Amino acid sequence: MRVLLTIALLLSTVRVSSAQTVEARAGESTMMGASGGQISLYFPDSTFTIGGGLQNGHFVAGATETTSVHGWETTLGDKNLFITSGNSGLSLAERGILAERKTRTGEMRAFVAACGRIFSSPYFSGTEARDFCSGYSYHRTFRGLDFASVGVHSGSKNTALESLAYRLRHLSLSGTGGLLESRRYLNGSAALNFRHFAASAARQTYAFKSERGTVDSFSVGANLGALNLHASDFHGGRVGGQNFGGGLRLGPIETRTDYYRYASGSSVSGSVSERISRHLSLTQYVTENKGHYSVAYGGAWRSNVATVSVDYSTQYLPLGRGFQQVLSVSVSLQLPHSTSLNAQTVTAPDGALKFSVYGGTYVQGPMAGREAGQHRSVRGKYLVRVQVLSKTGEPVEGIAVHIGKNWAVSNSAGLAWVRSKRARPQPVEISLGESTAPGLWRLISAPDVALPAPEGSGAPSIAVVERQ
Amino acid sequence: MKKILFLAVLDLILFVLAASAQGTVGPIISEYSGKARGEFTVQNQSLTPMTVVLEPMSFSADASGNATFRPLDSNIHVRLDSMSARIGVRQQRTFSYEVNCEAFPCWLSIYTTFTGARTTEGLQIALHIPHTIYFCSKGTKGCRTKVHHEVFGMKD
Repeated sequence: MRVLLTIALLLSTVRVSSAQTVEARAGESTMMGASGGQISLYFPDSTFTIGGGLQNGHFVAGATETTSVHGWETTLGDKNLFITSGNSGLSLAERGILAERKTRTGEMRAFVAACGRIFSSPYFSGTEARDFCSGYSYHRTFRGLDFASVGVHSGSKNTALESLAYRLRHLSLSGTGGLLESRRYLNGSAALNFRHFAASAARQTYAFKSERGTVDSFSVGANLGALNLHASDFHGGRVGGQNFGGGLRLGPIETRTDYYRYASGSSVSGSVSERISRHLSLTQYVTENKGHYSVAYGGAWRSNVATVSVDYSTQYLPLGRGFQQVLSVSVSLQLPHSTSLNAQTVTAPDGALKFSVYGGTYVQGPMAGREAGQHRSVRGKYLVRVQVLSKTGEPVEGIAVHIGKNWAVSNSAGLAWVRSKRARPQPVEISLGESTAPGLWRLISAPDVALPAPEGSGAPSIAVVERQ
Repeated sequence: MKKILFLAVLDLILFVLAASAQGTVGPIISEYSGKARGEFTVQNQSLTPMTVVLEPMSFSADASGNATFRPLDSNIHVRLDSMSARIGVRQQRTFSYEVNCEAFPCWLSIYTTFTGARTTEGLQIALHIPHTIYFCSKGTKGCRTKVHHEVFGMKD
């Protein structure tokens, strides 16, 4: 309820009429320790976003204005930047000015800002900027060659990476070298990709805070229709390891097994997924690690309005009561008027139940059309059909027709239909205001009711309209 | 007058280019053998609610892959769960279908027409994106390639 109230409050504080579209999001999460909201105003040539909230008791806020000027997209304010050169790069939370330009053969960007750390959630984000930073990135594709370059100065650290990638039919080669946050960095990879077989070899340097390591990896995979197999070998860093496994798909049942071997032992995991119906799927997992077995069950229901997933598993909670049965639930709703709501629960390492709930909605300004009725999905063997024609008998496309409690828009043959479970007559109403056909239309005649008929039989009821 | 006309045409082109990035259909192509029962998802990536209307159509292609569309052939029967929907901003909808053919191989496209706000004057912009189905008899592999090579005379 607090989330809905926050969304309503955010919407009431802006002048909707000045923006083409207004998006409001709000949420609360004990999982992330954050509650807050964000509002985005979409103008024809720019987007303005402002948001803020509490994260672990501290107020964080952010604002961003994005505008397009002579082919350059400029961002003023906060942004989480991912600057990549080949398959390497770094992430920066910046507060300043960023200019980006994309062309047919590549892209370039440059920024001058204060960098720091970002808090980001699905419903608001905020930046704490501390150090001066500036940089550029450039990427160009030329006759099968991909060239990329990155240069960033942030605080007292420098990054300068150059990469080159080459692709010839089934073979791809790539390499990146230079400095990553003032440390030497070298990456290389080669890959072969065929329809049923793939193989790759790579040398990758990993850097995280003060930790650093180089890992050599080799992997092969085969895709033989319903059966797929893979194997990987990792060397270097602190530990090495091997992994091999496979998956088999037989109609609605999919099964997968993986074996992992590492310095301190090995483990095996397996899963079976069944697609029970168009909406319902179930999954069972079994994991063996050092002689201990754990079993987990999961299920998901997906429809056009709701997605609900439930997982029941045995988890080891190191700060709680050891092994414990854990139930996690996730619900996502797609509601009328472009509104969405999401909620999920998770069990923390101390056994406490944590939740997140957030939602968002869009409100249209004067440029948007009238919101039409929401479509309800109805199954049934009967079709209730209405054909919309002009006075001369030509089919008219784009006319909205309410049939019973449902709604349809006429196609190029002028036909609008909905499904019905029963052969009972359905009331019909032509809704010219919700129609998408251009111009102004006038209703000449329409039936009060339409009769359902089995698919492929019966004639449609006829409605006649005229362009004004 | 010419300048106004030029700007109007330019505006229209820019709108069409923008619209093309605002509706998506996935998967674009589905292949079946034996039984053709499937679904595809339509997404509205734009900032205004959109109406989508589905229409199954038959098509043929020349050796260069240029397709010509026509009303659905009478020997192909398509059962859709619904024919139209209103999709909210950044929302999606999944449509399911079942296809029956009197002769194999058979192929068709379910055209999704996206339209935005109604205009009382001027042009209505519509975006058409197909979900194409290739359907062969049970046990046939590579149905799409088979149709492309043996029916349309395409080469790799």
